[in-house]
Amino acid sequence: MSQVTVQQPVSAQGQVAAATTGSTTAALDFSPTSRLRRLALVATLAVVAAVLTARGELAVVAVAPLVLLVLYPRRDLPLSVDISFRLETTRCIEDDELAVEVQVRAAGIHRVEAELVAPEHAVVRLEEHSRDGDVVRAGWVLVPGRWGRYRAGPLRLRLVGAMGTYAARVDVELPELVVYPGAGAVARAVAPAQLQAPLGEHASRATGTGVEFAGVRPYAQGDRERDVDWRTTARHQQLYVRQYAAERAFDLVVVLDTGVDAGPPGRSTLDLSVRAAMGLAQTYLRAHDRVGLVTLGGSLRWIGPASAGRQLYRICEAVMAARDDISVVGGRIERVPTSVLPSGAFVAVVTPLLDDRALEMVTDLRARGFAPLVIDVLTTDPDVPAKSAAAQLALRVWHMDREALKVQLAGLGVPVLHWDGEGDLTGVLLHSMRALRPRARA
Amino acid sequence: MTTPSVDQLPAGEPHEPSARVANRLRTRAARIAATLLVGLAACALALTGDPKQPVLLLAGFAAAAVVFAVATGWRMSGSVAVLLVTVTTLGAASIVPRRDRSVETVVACGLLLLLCVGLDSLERGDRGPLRDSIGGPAWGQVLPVYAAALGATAAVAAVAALPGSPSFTLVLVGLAAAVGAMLVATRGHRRPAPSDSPAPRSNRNGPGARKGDDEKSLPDDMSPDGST
Repeated sequence: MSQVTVQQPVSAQGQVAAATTGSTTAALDFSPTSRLRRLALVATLAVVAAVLTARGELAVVAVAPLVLLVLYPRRDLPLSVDISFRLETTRCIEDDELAVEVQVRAAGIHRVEAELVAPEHAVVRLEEHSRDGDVVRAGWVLVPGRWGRYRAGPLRLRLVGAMGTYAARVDVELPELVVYPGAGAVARAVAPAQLQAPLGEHASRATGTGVEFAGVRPYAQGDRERDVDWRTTARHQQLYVRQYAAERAFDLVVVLDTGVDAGPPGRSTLDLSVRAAMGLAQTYLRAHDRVGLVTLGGSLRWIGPASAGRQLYRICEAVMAARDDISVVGGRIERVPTSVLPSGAFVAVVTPLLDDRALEMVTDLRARGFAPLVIDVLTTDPDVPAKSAAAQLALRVWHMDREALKVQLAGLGVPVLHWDGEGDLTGVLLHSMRALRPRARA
Repeated sequence: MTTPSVDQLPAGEPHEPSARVANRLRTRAARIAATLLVGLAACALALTGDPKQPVLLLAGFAAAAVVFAVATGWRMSGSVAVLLVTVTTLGAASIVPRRDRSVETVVACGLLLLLCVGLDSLERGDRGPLRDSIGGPAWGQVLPVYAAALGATAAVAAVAALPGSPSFTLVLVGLAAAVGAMLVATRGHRRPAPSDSPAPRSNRNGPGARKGDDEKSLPDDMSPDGST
């Protein structure tokens, strides 16, 4: 079997670039198939039987296999094969459909079989294939079902020659596939009424130079003439001017608790946490807000709030690193610098609420003057034997622990939102933002 | 966002269109049925006329071996099935006078060829066929070869059935033909030196963005801007 590896090109800066197309010429090492061995077996048995019994008619059985063996000798097999492939993209989002196309060119090949090995949690299906003389083309659709970094493939090829009596195998390595997490449902970027950062798109409670009407007030020296509200002026026989809401930006910091990953793959707490973070980041960055990220659980990592377009990619890469983080040392939120948690920022804590870390985190945040929102992403209960009374009792105690934790959070004035990955977060976010008032620093 | 639950389902199967899955299952079922039919027909052919007890026994074993080989797809069981069917056919031909079984022998020979082809397509394992056949042969190339093989078999059988044809000569000719055929078939080609094959190469298209979006290059400092 020939092993073909397509190298990824390395740029001058030393970075590995994503290769979406590739081609190679692989030497073929043909070996006899079962069909050849069985034909030889039939012929040998017939000839031996004819010799042993001295009955020539038994040799008749050997004629057809021998004719086939003679008509397709091994020397007609090709020495090499040209293989080219194209992967539509090496970066995609969960449930995107990627096209993988392969072209095989070899003279004297009887049949080509292929298998595109699907990465973990991905689906592969053959879409089309055709043969034009010596050129065989095939196309697959690859649907990655879970975020992460995967090796797409390998693409296994089995080239059968000499009427099925010889076969060679070739493995084609495909580039790494980066699957970004899908975004959780956040329909629109809602914001609290009191905002501090200037130059945004959210109408704040303060008056300023926005476009949203905020009220009228008596005219004062220095007001612009075009702001005079003539209808109110006529009613009160006094000059009144219109006021507009100031437009402010919004700082959102998403805190991910990645210390525990529970639940089935694809819908685990880590999956839902990542999708919630991506949904929030995508929605608020689109509204030109500043979004930051803090991941707790393994190593403490953070990305300061920013609003540039590349911030989404930075957050993508940061949340994807969370799965590989096996550190259990952890870090506390108190070690996060002030620049990452700016004053007035809205903090959304995404956690499965499986230990006291969430409570400590929220307590710390409240002490720093923030009014966080906790998004609970645990959707499954622990698997316990249904017939075991002790296990059922333990499950009840576990439920009570979680309820006690939620009560403690409520005592701190922190709303807890349960999100199963399906619903829209907008309404609850808006409700939480409007209801919460940041406390003074402890 | 609705993300399908992929934990319980094996990769490669769950999201395939049902029509495609049904078509694949139909094809495999047809292959299994055809191979089973061919193998059992070859066994049944040995029982025509007045079969002796050894032939009956062999035919039973052969039929069981065919069923087992088709059911398991194991390589070794397929070879054993071919061996037993061949021995059964030879046993039946060696017991009955030659003129009475010429046609049966030719038909059994054709069935043996089909059995080899059918078992080959049902084989499982590392050396068996892969999942998707993307470039099959043209029937115009396949059929003449098998027709020539069966024609040659029929011609030799007709010669062997002629009254007064020397059996010893046939044996000698068969032996010589077998040795010659094996020599021709096993002549291998010479592999080129490893340096003859060009090095693999790749084309760089740049980092791909999500389908339909403008391509955006990722920043160099992709990692978070701080860690402890």
